Amino acid sequence: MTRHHLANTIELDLFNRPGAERIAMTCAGAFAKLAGCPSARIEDLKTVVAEATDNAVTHGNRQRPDGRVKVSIRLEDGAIHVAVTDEGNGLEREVPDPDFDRILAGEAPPAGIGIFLMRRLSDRLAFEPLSKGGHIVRITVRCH
Amino acid sequence: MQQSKTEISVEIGEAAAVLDIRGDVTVATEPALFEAHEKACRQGAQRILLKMTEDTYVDSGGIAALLQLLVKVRESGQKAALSGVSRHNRKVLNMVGVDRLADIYNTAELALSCLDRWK
Repeated sequence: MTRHHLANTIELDLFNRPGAERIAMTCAGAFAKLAGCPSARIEDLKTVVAEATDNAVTHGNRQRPDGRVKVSIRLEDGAIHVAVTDEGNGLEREVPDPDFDRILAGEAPPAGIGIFLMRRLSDRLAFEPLSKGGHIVRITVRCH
Repeated sequence: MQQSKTEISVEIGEAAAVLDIRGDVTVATEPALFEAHEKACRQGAQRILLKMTEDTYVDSGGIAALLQLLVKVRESGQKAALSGVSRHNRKVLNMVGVDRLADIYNTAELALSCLDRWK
């Protein structure tokens, strides 16, 4: 499942089932700890990676049992860079931040919280289609 | 791979009904959360404590479930509090406004003592 091909990179090739997000977040957290990231940033990273991986399983690969989710985690320039790749088409449109005033008033369902957290807890977040098919989410979390 | 099952027990005390959450808080937890709240309501609870632990895993689906439950608690005229929330989970819950629906305490004892003063 895991192979080390560079000193500062790990790659995961994960099954497309619930639980993949736990593996990805645990690996990302352990990697960030080895890189010397403070615990608060490690927790931010773990949440963002878990949400991205869960989205890949549930929405990108639509829970297909033969789907795969690939997660690459790299240390560069004092930041952890994560790429989460699935076999889907990505977001059909920009997902706006939730309207929490309406949600808290009980006037709107609590949707879009995962992407909201990914935006707020990361330093850079990008959603990109792949030319060969598939979709990639690029995440950067600075250690300091 | 099996997902861990979350168990929520309900204990009715003088200060509050304690919904003791053992396990993850995810979208899969939503039915158990609402069922526990219903049980507390049937026993006349006016104050609800959602008791977690430092290592409780909470994802966006779980946050959505918590928000829906806390809106229902408020609409029922009840008072809610959370306890045992880790520093990171507290930060995340505050980002989405949970602190506007419920007070968050480090310990269940402190939460119960504060809830007990709410009438």
